[in-house]
Amino acid sequence: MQISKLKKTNKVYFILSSVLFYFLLFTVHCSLFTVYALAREISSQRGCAICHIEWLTEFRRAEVTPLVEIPQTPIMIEGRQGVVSTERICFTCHDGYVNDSRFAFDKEKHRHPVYVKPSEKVKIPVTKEGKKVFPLNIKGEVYCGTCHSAHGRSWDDMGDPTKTLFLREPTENSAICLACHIEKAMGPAEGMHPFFKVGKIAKLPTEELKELGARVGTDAVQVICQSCHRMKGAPEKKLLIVRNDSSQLCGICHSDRYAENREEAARMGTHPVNVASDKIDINKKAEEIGGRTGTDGKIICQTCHKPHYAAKGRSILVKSNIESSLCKTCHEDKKTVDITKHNIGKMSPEEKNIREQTVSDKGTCSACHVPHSGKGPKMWARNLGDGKDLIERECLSCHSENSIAKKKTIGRYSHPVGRNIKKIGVSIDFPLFTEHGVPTNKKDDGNVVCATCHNVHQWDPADPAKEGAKDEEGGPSNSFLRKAAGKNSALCMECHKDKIYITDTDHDMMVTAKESKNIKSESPSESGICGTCHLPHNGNGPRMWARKDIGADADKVSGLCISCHSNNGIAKDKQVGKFTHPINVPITNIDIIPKRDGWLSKYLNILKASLSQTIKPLPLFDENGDRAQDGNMACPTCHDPHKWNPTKNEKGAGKNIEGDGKTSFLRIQMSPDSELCRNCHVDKRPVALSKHNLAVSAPDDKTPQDGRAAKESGVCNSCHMPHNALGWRLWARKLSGDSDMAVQLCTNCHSEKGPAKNKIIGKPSHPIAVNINKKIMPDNMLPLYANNGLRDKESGKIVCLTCHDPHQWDPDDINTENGAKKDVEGDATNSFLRLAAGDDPILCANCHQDKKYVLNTEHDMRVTASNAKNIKGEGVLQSGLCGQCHFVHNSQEPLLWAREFGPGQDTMEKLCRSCHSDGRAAGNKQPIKFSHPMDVVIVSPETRPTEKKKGGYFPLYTEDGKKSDAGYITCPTCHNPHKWSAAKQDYGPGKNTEGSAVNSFLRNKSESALCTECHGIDGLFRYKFFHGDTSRKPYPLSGQ
Amino acid sequence: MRILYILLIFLSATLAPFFGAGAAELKLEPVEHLFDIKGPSNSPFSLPTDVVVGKNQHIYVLDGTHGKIKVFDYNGRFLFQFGREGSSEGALDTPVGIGIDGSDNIYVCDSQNARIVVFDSKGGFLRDFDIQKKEGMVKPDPVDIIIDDLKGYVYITDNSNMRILVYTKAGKYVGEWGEKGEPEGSFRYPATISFNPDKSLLYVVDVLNTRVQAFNSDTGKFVRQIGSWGVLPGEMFRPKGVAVDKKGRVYVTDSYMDVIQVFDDQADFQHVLGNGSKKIQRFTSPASIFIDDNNRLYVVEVLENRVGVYKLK
Repeated sequence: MQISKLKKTNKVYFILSSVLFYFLLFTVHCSLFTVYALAREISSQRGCAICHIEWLTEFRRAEVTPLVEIPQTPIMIEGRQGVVSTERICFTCHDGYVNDSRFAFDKEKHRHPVYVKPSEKVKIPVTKEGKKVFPLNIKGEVYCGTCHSAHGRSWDDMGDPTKTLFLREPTENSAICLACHIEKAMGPAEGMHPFFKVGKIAKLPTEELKELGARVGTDAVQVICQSCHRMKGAPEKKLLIVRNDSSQLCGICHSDRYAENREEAARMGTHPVNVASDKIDINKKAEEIGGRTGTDGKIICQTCHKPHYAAKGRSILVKSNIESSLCKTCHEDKKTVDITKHNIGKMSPEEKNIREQTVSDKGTCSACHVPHSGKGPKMWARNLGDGKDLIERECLSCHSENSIAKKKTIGRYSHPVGRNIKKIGVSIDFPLFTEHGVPTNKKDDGNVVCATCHNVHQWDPADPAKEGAKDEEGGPSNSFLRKAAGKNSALCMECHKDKIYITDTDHDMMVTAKESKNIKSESPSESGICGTCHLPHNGNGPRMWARKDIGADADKVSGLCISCHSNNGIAKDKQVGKFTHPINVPITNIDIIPKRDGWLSKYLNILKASLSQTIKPLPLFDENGDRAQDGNMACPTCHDPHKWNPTKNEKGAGKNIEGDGKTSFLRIQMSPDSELCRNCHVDKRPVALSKHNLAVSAPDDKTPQDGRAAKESGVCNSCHMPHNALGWRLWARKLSGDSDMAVQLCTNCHSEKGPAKNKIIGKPSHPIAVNINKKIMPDNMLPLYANNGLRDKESGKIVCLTCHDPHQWDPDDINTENGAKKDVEGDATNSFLRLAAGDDPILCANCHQDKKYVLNTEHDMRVTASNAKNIKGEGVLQSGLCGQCHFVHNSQEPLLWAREFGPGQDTMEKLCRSCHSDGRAAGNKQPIKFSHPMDVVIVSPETRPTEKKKGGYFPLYTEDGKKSDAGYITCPTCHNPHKWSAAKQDYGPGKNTEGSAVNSFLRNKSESALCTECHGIDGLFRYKFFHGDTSRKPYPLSGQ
Repeated sequence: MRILYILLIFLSATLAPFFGAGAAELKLEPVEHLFDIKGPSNSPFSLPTDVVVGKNQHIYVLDGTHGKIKVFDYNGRFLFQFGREGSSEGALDTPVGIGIDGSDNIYVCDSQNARIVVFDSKGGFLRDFDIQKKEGMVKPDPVDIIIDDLKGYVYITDNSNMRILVYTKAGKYVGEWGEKGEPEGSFRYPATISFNPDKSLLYVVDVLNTRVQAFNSDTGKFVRQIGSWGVLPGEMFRPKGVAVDKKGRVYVTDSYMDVIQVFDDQADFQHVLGNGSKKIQRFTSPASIFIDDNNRLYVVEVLENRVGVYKLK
């Protein structure tokens, strides 16, 4: 449309032009004008002038006014900048509407410098003809056209045209960069970052680099200039693709050396970066060596390295590291290692580190440290030894059997490492470490490792100039220790502050055994107070034990005590005796659950406030002698060998003194209230509320241990003593001499001369020291005991303690105080019984399970004679169901009979007729003729066992009531008084009923079995004779 | 003979300038400069490229190299910004153009992600849709977008495949026209777009063909061309932005000559915007422009990192 308008508005000119054209067409200038006219064809003109705007002729026509002025710059003159290569022209297309190169024009970003003169380092190549390949502008400055030209090289020569658009040389493999900056590709030999190398050290993450606008080499993952720099749109100074003030750029490729913090650096085995130091002024040190620091003076990669113009041939270090001089610039305090035995070059000059370097090659530090790719924390330069803690493993890389310090190994029993100081809750001035081998810089948190006690760079803590000669044997005052150990074991006490109270106690050998020697033949004054029993390395047993003759029969920890407290030990006068508190047993045996945050007991929840004091956890030990939450008891569970008095933080008296329940290295006092015993034996605490608290029942009774009255010695100590007891159960009282140990304990008091002389068991009494019949009591809940007094569930026997728990008065009420009176009379529901034996006699039924079906039968007095009393005058509520007929103690023969005997021709009949006789409780249940003829004696040993198997067992009795295969027929021959129906394993109906031939406490399981056993079929008629309705006396139940 | 006649015409046209022919007369019409917007003080613009104004009288400026849309009140006070760099949902990678619909939803040409991302007027992400490409095409590069609410269409320039695309507002492909070339209906880098007042015409800046082409917005059929190659009044060297006022006059920026020229709805050159001193009003690399309902002209001056606000007569 504009063209048509031109045609319209210039009609006159058109005609004149046409005439002129024909005129000129035939002139000598014809061809010239033809060519010029073609050049003015719009599209062609636009093709060049789209950039070369200055070529537009409008600018040279006087009669028109262009909308924009164009400076008259030289055209097509080599090395002179034209309008075409000004940024304005470039941006008119590269603004996003033709091509988006806004990043290159973003003033917030960085680009290759323009309008500056190249420095002397820049070498611009020239052609054979002497022309600069990269022209400068008229001022000799770099400008856009220095690198860019639409005409320089054909795109075919340039490789990928999308990457080399309008450049004078290809950008691939940084060719265009190197054209001028070739010296920066000379590699580390010339102090330059490696160039065009495939990542031996660095791993170039191509995708990440691509995201950042960086590139790698074309044939492999090779580092080139553009791997770090962007010519345009670089977000950072120096044309860097990312910031590098914290070595972020370095870290992209050297990620294995770019740790986020000290912990990660330790894991990587590399020198930390981006960390500050409170010991070293890194800024100052960096300035000394020509390095740079990061923000806040932190060390960064560039502190030691320079990517360009670094020390030649020195791994682009800012300064040569000959003789570890670069390391020592910052680590000045480590220089002292040079003169010590830890200078490997001095001790083993041929020894090589993991890089096969000797000290003479790389300096003292290199023997143990490499700046990157170490084997552990502290950039460890040696292969790690065996061990749990990383720092320990580093030390053991030399101090092991097969290594260069094999003469200085630490042995099996050495001071533990890798444990947090929190465990002992102290604050120390020695360094502590994380599990990754990094100092925590805290005084009260961090693991103790070798370097906690040892400063490996200085031989003598008091004098850094001390050499530590090659053959010099170390002692407690040097040996790379951070502090001299000394006579008072100051080094040990730095951490083990709570052990200071051992001083001047019986366990201070300088008090009690001045002449004794430890396994290193050191006297106490030589070894120091701790060294008499402990050696930090090469101990003789657990706890780095420094003494010989460790007890082999005890657990690992208690055995240590025995090395002195034995017949041949220096503490032979202080032994524990035969009967001593058990050790090497789990605390769970007494129902305590040791948890990390405290010990728990099921009893704590049910005990009354006065008995439910919190349990104080005590140390337990595993099979190796180490403390373990779920370990076993050992001597140190109750004893703290380092503290004489548990209630006082004070040293000893400086002389050997006799201990008591308040001292004696106990962890908890035993006097006056048996606190230590009660701490663990929670289930026994109720004894305080019973007559078995002698302070209640016999307050003036003398305690054998110390002769004090029971009311003063503590509830436990009246009967027990932890060591050198007189018998089983740590018995503290005189034993009775009974053959059975378990019985001896009870009868000591419950005897004619004992404090419980009013409570002796008399004769006959329930049998003891007898085996139980497991067939009839498979579910026994009660304890059984062997002759030696120990519990024996399998083959143990019944003793007093089977039925009685001497520590609890009422089995159903652990908190009752009813038994805490001197004269209180017990009954079947209390009396220290383990189970109640009242109207539900579970105690008796536990063993006599074949008798339990008497419950709710007519022989249960509650059913038939609720007001009946036994010969002690006890009703069923006091005596219990069984107790109406049987006394456990102070009873009558046979069968511990508890009732007044009735008439009868034999003993068993007399028992039955205690009730089944006139005026008695079962007076209306009497046959007219009670007794089977006495002259019938059954002797049938062959046939009766057969019947027994069939269930037709009919026992015979002697005249005095003993069972016999050749005996008389009497009441229990046919009757089982404890079971209503032989055919049913069931309790009684709970009411008085009239029986029949198949129940009525008869042993027979069928109507025909009983009498026909002996009498044949006519026996039935005999039965009717004796038991029919007409044969009974018509007495009603008396209820008596 | 016909060939000779054509040759005559052609040569006449080319020779005409030697005789003072072809140049439109330079006429100026002043505009009143109201104020400039340079972005919040703590985050000034960095090569902004587009501006739109909503019915809510909020001014939305695309600060593309930051991947942000910065929002200002009608007096140019900064209100808030939204957008983030990246390629995940709702993120932007060097966007160039934005459009706004009747609900003041903002449509962003997310150039490097080859998609349109739609935000509500407060910057909440609503949806996005990818720009489709046909076989043989390179990755699309959406540069500008304009919305016809009545039809429910959006028109998009694809700078890398030299075409105009039509989608529904929801992102469903409707159609396209254009190819690389110089003939009518072809493009060499289509850039910004604008409607005439009744939206029957779609004006498309054709950068390297140095013209603005008008198309029937329903059919995509070429209607007329505005401007031609050159540096004289009525000619264009780097046309970039186009906007149409209520009278249907077409305003075209030239990012090298730093001028805005005005043509009537028949493509006839009218004038160049001037200043109070009766000189050409110079803009620094003006790109996209926008004229709002109050006859305000908003000019994105890219290299100056500002948006100039002017009052048109």
